[in-house]
Amino acid sequence: MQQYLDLYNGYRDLIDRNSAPVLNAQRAQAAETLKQTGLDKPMKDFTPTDPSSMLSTDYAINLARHEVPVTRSNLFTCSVPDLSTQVWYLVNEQLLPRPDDDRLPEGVYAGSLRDFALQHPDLAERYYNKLASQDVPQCHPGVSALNTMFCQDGFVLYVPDGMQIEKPFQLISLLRSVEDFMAAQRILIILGDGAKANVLVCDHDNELRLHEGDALPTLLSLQVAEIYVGKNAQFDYYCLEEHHDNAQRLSQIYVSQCEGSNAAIGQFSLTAGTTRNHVHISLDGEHIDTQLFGMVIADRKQKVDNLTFIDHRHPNCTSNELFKYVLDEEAQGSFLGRILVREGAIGTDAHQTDRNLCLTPQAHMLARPELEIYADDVKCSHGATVGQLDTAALFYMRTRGIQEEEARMLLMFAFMSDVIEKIRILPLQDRLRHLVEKRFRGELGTAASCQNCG
Amino acid sequence: MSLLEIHNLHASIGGKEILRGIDLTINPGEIHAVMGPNGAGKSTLSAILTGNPAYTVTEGSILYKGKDLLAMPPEQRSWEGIFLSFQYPVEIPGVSMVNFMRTAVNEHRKYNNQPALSATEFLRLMREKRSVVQLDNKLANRSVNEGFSGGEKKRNEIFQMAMLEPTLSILDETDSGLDVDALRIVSDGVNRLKSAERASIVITHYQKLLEYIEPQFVHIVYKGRIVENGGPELANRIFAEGFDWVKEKAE
Ligand SMILES: Nc1ncnc2c1ncn2[C@@H]1O[C@H](COP(=O)(O)OP(=O)(O)OP(=O)(O)O)[C@@H](O)[C@H]1O
Ligand SMILES: [Mg+2]
Repeated sequence: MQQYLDLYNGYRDLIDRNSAPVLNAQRAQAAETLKQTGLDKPMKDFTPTDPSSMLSTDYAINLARHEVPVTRSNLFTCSVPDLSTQVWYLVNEQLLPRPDDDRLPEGVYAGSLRDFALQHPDLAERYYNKLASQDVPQCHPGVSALNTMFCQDGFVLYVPDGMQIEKPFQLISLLRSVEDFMAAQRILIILGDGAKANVLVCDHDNELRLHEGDALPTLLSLQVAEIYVGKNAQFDYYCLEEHHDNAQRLSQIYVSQCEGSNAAIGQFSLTAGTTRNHVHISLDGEHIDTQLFGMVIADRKQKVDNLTFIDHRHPNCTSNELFKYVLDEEAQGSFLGRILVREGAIGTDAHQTDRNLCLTPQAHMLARPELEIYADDVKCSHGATVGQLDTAALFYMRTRGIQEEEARMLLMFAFMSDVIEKIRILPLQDRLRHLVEKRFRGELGTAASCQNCG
Repeated sequence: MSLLEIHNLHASIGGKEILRGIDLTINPGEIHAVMGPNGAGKSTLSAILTGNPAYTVTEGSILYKGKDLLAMPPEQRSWEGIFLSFQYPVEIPGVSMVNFMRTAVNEHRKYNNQPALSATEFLRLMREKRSVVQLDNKLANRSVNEGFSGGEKKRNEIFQMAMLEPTLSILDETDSGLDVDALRIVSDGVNRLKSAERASIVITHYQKLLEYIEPQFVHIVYKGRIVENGGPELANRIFAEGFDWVKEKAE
């Protein structure tokens, strides 16, 4: 941790110079928070991943904002057929400029956080680092503080009141470096009252070496997203991770939903190295609907943790949470899902399901669902299971001539199907079905880029 | 050459010996009924024939079309023409009947060096065979056996048999739980497959099915052995007198 404080103190001017006043104004407090909280995880947290060890590598950080030698045209396209998206590229922490001919509707802002903070300082000030600076359950204040200290730019989507945008925004994040590298990635999403938007974030990395035979560098995506969903607004946010074994992802998503709003948050770890996802959703009004779901497919020595918190603060809200893991070989995973139903949050309808398959005795899953209820007249349920593939079903399929490998594939695919069906963009469902099938067939995460998606 | 030759078969599960020396020979064109009291080992025999990995063969041999059956994995036995209609068909949530059957049929075709069926060809085949056993289209669009009634599951087994056209079919109590009409439909499905090259093993506790299917040979299994062999008259004696005389004779 000390190396980050030293770096910050030593380069404060350089960091500020390349950013915007609204962002700079948050740094000192963030540094103070990091100093106080550190990066260790809580004592009784037995998850396989640990922020302090993920951050112990001596990462390079691109404070001088040297341009990465890539342009839009020589980047791959992360194509989702039948799903036309408005694409932005985030290479490490830098958002690539977009051609001007892609016009957005009047009043909508999508693009650079730095530019947004310079052009609309009042708006930026109102929303930037308000959620992420809170110390809330299942999120790590030190991790967000670290991001805030070094964040110079990022991606913003601002949709004013009443504006409904059907075409999804796609942010393709790509880690590229020949040395150990950390990218402080920042996402800010603001939906006005009655607005509608969808965002798809695709996380990738390139395996690059300076010289043939060099060891691969460790690349860390330190991702913080703050999401405000206005009254009666509808928002979908899907994160699709396809990282190599050497990549690390430390993500914190903070969501604040206003009265009558409706949000779907999906986290899909198709391939990962070491990943720790935190999600905190605060239901800040009545009649809110929240759908939180995710899947993890991991093998080799991959580690993926999901820590989630849904805070029912007001009456008559609904939340549904569904997470599923398939762990093969020596993969490790954990799901720590907490739901809090506060006093007075009557009429709450909150359900949580966590199902996991461990395909080998070496694969390990930690499932800890927690439901705390302090209100009467609520409908709540939670359940977690860890099991193996159904051997009776496997045998049955084999007696019909379906080869064992194929039978396993069909069962694993069937296992994930209800998570895929939670996606509210149909072409994206199809895409994910295709990707999940490829993943189970071992055809994903072997090539160097998102060409896999094609 | 016989289709199936079982010699001195011993098998166990969880360290407990269930089959204790089974001998049985089946020739092409024959239908064999296997009867015996509950727990005698009839389903165990069908599990061994299809290669259920939960069981261990401790002694003996099985030749199928002259080849060592025990050396083949379950899927290969299927490609070679062995089919089991399960006493308790398995539910597979999330795997659609269509996907399941198409995968099965095309794996069979691949084994026989035939090209995969196109989607339309497959659906046509499915429709044709579905009508044979009068399996509701609604069921064909659901997940495998999920939420099927007991009788529907059995009908679905015969539908799958009709799709795969096996050389040796084993029906493990396919008749139990069927209403009279369903029993007739299931028997028709079996009789349609009758030919000089094919053979069937029919495990049953009831007379009705044997009236429709008419086996030439009847075997009584008791405590893991075949203790009586005969023709249709043996089945009739069991229906009239029960198994007590068999047990007394065997002890
Ligand atoms: N997993 C197991 N562990 C121990 N014993 C078992 C196991 N599975 C089956 N058995 C025993 O094997 C014996 C034979 O069972 P099997 O199912 O072959 O009988 P069956 O002849 O088919 O009977 P039924 O007419 O009731 O279907 C029974 O005594 C049964 O309890
Ligand atoms: Mg039985």
